[in-house]
Amino acid sequence: MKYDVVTIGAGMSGLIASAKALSRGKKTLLIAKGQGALPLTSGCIDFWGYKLDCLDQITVNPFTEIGQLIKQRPEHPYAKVYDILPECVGFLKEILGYSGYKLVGSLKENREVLTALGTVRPSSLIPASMAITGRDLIKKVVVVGFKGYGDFYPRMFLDNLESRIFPRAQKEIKIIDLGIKSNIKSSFLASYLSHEEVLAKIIRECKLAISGGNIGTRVSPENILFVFPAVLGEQPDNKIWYKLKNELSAQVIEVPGLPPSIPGQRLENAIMFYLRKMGLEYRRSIEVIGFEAKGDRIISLKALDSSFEEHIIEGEQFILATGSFWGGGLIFNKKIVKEKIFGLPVFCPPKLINGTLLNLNGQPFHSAGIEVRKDFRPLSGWRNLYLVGSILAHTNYIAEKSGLGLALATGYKVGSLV
Amino acid sequence: MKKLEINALNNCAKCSICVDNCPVTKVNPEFPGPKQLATDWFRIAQKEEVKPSWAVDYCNNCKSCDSACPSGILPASINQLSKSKLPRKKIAVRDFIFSNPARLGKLINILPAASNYFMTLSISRVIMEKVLGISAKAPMPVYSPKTFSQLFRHYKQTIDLKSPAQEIIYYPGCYVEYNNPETGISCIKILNKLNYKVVVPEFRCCGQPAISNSRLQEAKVNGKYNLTIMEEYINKGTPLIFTCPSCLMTFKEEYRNILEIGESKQINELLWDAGQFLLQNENFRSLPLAQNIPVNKFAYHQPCHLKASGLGTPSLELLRNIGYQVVDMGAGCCGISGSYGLKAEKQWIAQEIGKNIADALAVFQAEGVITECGMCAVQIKHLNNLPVFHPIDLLVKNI
Repeated sequence: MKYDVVTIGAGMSGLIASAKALSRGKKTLLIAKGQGALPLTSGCIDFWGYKLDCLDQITVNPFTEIGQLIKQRPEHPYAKVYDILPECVGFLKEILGYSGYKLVGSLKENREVLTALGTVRPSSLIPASMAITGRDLIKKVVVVGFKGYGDFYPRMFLDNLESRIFPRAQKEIKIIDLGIKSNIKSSFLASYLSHEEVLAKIIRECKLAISGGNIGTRVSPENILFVFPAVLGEQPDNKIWYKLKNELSAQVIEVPGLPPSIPGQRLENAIMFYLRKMGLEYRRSIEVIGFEAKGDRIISLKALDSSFEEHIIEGEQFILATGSFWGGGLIFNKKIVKEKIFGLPVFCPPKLINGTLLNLNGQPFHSAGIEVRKDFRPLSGWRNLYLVGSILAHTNYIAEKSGLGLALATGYKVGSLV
Repeated sequence: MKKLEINALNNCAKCSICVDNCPVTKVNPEFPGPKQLATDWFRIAQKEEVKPSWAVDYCNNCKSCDSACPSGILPASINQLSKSKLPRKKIAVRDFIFSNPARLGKLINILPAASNYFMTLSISRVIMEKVLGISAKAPMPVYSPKTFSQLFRHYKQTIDLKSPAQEIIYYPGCYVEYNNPETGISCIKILNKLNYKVVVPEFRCCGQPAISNSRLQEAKVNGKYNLTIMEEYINKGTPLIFTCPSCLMTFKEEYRNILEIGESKQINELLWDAGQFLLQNENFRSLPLAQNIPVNKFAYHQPCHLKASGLGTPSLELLRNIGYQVVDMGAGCCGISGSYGLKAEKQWIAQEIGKNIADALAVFQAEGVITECGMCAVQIKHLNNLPVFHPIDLLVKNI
């Protein structure tokens, strides 16, 4: 069975490249060794976080900042996708619509997203359930935790919260006891909350926080913000969040915390919903270990299934979306960085490690990767191989806050080329 | 690469993706999940004699964690090993019954109609729950009046004799043998059409039910027996076709990883999922568009063990190629996990996990369901009362 497009890797860039290829009617196969990294992300799509000339200040408009960036550093992968950035955002929103999943925000604005630690991180496209409208109007913040749930501590959230965020608000902690004795995990909570009686109990307890306190300090519900850990349901439809908001007539937000994150999972579910609808062929638990080429074209991949049996996978075009070090696309062995499948030449910064662990410039080794042409084919080598996502050289997604944004843009671009 | 190796455990990055993919963790808060239960425990157990947790008995061996792990660790397989180290339970009789469907099947086959009737009586179900610990609420597979072997003995294979027929082996598995022999016969019809003469040697149960019911010794005996039968065919290179993804996965993986009886690469090359085999067959690919499609909108459920095998969804691709409208539900594990969901203390877990399937079927407004796994089919019928087909049941209409 020969495919028009074979994508290796099921993270954001691989999923989006496959989605775009499928939308153009290409017969597409997605193969992955394991689960992609999307559930490890917050589910927010960052394009660019901080100002180029002042690394500790959030940039207001990522789009113009990226415009500046590519003038200063034309080798950055953003230079090859700058023109299609608005287009790829539209495409993402469109495909998420199939499962009713909503991201709010725009490429031209960074919003401040509150995290489970009470810190603030910049991001452009965020789940509707993480957006706050009118922070100044909030007069009371109720931080909700669950007894036995160790991934979110309301006290820590409030202690870390900068006073500028809700300058005029009272703060309150509400710990809800769901009657579960063991340690609770996020995936359990997200699924448990879909039981009507459980949600009803939570709503009852939250209403107590609205009506409680002295008459003098009581705040009307529309000025109250309820802060939940990001566990409000696993499905992309956000049903639980809507229900909480409506029943409480207050603002409700989720704050992303430790991985694996439910919002990251929702984003993945929503994209997968589209891919399945479009007839994607998907093989998981299979690892590509080699390939066969004829002249300057790859004709097939060699892959091992879970029992080490060899499979030959034929295709017209191949997309490499195996990520960098975390994803396993790049490996670091005996002081040399290698690309695992095709042995492509890897760009490596002269100094790989910066002595200060958490410095604002990030760790240089993250910018290692494969250098590509304008159309994302490797500088030398195969004509029908395209690279997307964090395996690309000259980008440091952790320091830049560009991970999912760049994955989206490069995936989209390549998906429309193959 | 996936192999049960101690060194592989060091690759665990503690990303918890396994926990995230575990259907049992999702519904049972007391289940610690694959990371703690398998990966962490196994590392500690290397150094000192540590008893596994009671909770490991609640692992349903769906292998969602195995197939999700980006670092090549096999938590579910580790769990099966540690499960066998748990102290024997009082309800060992039940696990003895469940550990070999062939034993029960042979018994029931004496009077299948009466047995099926007995299972529908609520009084007998209550007694079964009280005495044996088999849930009164769980769906029970229905037994066929004739076993596959009985039907096959009288089945005349019609092979086009223009070219010499090639030999091929079929492994029916317990579900086809005792509950759904029609799928087995359909598979033979298709293979005949492709000029194969089908042999069905006297295999035993693959051993998966015994592994899941912590009777590794029994599984080993069965596995060795099956591999001995295969010896004759290895040199000839005769392919072995499965219609049950769990039997296939057991031959392919569990024999090596858990039972440590099959290290031979040669045999793996001969093992095929029926859909996978047909998809790569030139003659089968040129089939005409399907007629008599039973319903318009199908939902496909990928059995967990097929997903874990890394074979993708070949039958889905085949059906689409001949004009079936099928959407892959992607709803994950159905919950039944062989005999897991039939057990009194675990039935609620299976039911709760299965909600995903029921929800997805409602979203897609499916009129019929397609899945390769027999027990998944039992659970899906129970959850939604839709007709459920094995892909082979549909493909046979097209030859």
